[in-house]
Amino acid sequence: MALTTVDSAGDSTLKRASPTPRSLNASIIFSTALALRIALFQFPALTTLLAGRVEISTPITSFKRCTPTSRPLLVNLLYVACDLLIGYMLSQITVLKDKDSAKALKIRQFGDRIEEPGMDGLKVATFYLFNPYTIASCIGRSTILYSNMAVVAGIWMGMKGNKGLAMFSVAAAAYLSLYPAMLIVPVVLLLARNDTVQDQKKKMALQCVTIFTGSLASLFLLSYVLVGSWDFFSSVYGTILMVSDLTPNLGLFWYFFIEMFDQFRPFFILVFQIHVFIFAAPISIKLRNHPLFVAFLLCTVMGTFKGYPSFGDASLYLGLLPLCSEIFKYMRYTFLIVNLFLYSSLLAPIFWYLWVYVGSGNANFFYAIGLVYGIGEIILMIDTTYALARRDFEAQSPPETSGEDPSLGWDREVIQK
Amino acid sequence: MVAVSFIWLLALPHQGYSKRTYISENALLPGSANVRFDYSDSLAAEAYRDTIQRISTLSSYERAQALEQEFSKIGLKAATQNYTLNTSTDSKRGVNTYAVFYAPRSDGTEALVLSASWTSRDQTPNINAISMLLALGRVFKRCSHFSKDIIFVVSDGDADGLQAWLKAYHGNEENTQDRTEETLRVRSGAIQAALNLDFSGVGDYNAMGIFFEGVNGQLPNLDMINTVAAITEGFAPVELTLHDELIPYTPNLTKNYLNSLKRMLYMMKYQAVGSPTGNHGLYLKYKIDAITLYGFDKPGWHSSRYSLFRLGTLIESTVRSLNNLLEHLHQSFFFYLLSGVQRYTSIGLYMPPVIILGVSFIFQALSLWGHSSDLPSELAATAAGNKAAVALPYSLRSRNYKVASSVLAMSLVAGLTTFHLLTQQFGFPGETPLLKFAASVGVCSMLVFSAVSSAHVRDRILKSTSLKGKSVDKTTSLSSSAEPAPAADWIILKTFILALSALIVTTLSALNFSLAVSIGLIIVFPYMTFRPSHYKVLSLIQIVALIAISPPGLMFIASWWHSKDMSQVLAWVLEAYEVLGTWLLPTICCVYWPLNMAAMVMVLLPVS
Repeated sequence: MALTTVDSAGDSTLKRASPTPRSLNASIIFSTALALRIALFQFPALTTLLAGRVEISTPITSFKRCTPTSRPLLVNLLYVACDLLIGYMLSQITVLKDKDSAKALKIRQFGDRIEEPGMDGLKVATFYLFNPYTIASCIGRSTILYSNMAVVAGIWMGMKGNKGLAMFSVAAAAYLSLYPAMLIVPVVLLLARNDTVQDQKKKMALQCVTIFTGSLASLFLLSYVLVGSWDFFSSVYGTILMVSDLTPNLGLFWYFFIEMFDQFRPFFILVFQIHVFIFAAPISIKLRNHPLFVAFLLCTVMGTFKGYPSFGDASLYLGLLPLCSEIFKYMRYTFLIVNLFLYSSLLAPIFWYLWVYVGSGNANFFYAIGLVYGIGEIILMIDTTYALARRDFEAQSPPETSGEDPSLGWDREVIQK
Repeated sequence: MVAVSFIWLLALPHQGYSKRTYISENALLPGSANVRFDYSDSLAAEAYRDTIQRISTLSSYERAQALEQEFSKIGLKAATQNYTLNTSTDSKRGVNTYAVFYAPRSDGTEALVLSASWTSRDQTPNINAISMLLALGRVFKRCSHFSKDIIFVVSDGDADGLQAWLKAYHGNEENTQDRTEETLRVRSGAIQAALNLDFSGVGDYNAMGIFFEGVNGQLPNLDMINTVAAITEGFAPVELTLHDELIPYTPNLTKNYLNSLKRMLYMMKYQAVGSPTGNHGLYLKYKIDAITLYGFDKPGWHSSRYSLFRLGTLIESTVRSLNNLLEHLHQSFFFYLLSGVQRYTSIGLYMPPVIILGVSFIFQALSLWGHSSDLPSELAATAAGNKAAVALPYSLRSRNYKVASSVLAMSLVAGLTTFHLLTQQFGFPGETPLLKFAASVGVCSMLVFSAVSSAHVRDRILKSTSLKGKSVDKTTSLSSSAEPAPAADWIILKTFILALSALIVTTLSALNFSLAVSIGLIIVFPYMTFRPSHYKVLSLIQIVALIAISPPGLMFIASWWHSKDMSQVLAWVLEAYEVLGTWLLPTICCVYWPLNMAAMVMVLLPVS
């Protein structure tokens, strides 16, 4: 059933634009992404190099730490397929979003023009598939990819209004890496976005929570049946929550907890973990009309403040960002953000090298770069939120133009003050 | 800002900016040990000198065997190691000899290394150094106060021998078609520090130089140099200098400054190319602090001459100091610039100019970024007194990244291709590095031409369509609704180039300061000032300048400067990459060249 809806959604896009070049473009982009990944997997040295980088594989997501059960070729193909699937789902989400925004309030722009549409699905998929972070974590076989896939699938199903599958995907993501559990809020918002009656919304939310709990419980039960004991709880979620493995990574936890006396550890762990989750409530309340953006922002919060962040998290939120591409032109610090990301991703391996191999640097070097990376992420969050708010303002209180001089009424700085 | 950075860089060698070095690690206690090297050992060393002189003319294998016997005679555990190494231009094989003195009071977990290579820096047999090793082995055998094992290594070839030995010592020996390294039969603990001796010939010397720059510009802990300096000051007086330049001291300030500048430039040159100045550089790859002591005789220099006797005391005293270490050298500086044996400039003083250089790149990039937004029109409006200038929350002009990003992506691919071309062997008959280099130059110039021509064609098409669009516009509506044209492609491309240059210069400075400075100084003026122009002559001048600073141009200049053949320079760079794993070639091919190509394309883009 799901497949048929996908096809119809795809068909509608095909009908809307000139069909052949679009599908041709899509096949070109997806096959290039496929070829690139398969070509890169041909260099085993690169795979081992990337899989060994602390920026890419954390104790939680490292492929080395799971026992390989099947042949490497199949595993590699699985990673590539998941990546391509995420790209496909992102493009489908964009299609659904475009349908939504067709109904939404139109924004008039300077010179009485209607706002240009944002990126189309193919562009969004391209941005995800050719993001260096995505490629690196795919080639490095970081298992964060599966969690990312579940997250994107949850958002997609939420957009489509498929309650059961959406909740199941979110539950699967939470089952894989715990933090995505908070994405239940934006996905419920997505599911309920067309309901106008308050009671209906409440009913929907209740149903969703029930389905979520049910699927999570059944997943746990399934692992219990497979493993034969409840030990996996402490070894999986215990490690995530208690941050017991302090291998350095790009996050903010390890440096802090290495230095800490044991008696303070539980308190600070509690504070740090609450800090990750606490954003879910205010963000979802304030931005409830933009559930997609809430999903993006929560993913960024997760990727910044969780115990074991990696470039795989960056690939997720940077993949979700173009879904809100209409806010891009309101952003003010694009140049700065891009530069911060570039610098931190280049300097992190260099400082790691200076610390671990050459011995002339030390842990402070690497942690400083982790901080720079964190600052980049935080500025990204602030700037996108600002851009969204600014666009909202523009939509809700359009400038009063008399029509004679289109520039009149556009000097909005006055109002802001 | 560029000027500030320049002045700061030039001020670095000045006395006021450098400090006097000091021993930072208290455990070293240089010169406090009672040295056991006495006159009879000096005589023994002279006897060994004759033996070494005799066997140095033998083949690799035979002389290694003979030396092994000599070490065994002293009572040390000695062995030899065979290795072969095939590079794309050369095939090397040789035999290393090594011997271990097991310290009576140690548990064998730590060791120091004394090494010498069969050939010296000046390509003559390294006779005095090897006989010194034997004599010192004899002395150490008598001593009971060593807490670290001492390993004596006599390596074959240039750097390849010691490299093979170090690889095998750390258990990384390979047995492939390209390189084989025999497994070591005698071992000791983790190497804490190493001294490499380079005393060629059989005579006396009147000066000693310290070489310390390692692979990729790595430096040993400054305490290594400080220890030797402290010992030569009092215990075993020897004229000590950096490298092999002896510059007389003058009280004249200007001259003094110029001398410091010269020494610092010397060091930066060695550091920038990334090839070690001696075998000590290889130890640094394994986190072992090491320096090379180089004895030389400068005719007409006033200092007193020293023989094997004083040399022996000096080296023994240094080894005894290092023997005192409780842990790895870590107290003193790892990042420094030396303008004399006892004058250093620390990282806090020399980093700012590079950062300022990087920031000046970023600032110009930012201003160009602003230029590609509404800013220019807004400024024009305010300048015209039009107070009602519109301040929109977003930019009306859209930025067009297509040309810029595709040019950068293509030049990166071209750079990677050149790197691949240069380092791979394809097995064609008559395949030489120079030929491959010519091919890669061809690839690069093709890229530049195709990018420029396609950009021009695109520009023409865009212009014609916009003309059509304008004519349609005029008939339908007022011109006020017309969108302002996006900024020219070259502005966006130049923004990217500048931002990337800043990124490269600043990140590289953490790894290899001197290389970063040289790249920064080379590119700062061309990349910041060049822009497309209507005048053909100006474009031509810019292109010529860019070609001059492109890798082929620089190589040409380097070969002319050292009056060598292009192929020799290329072979040297390739060998450094293949044997030692220096990053000069990858950096130039994958980072420097792509930016250079992009800059050339930028200069040739349509002005509009």
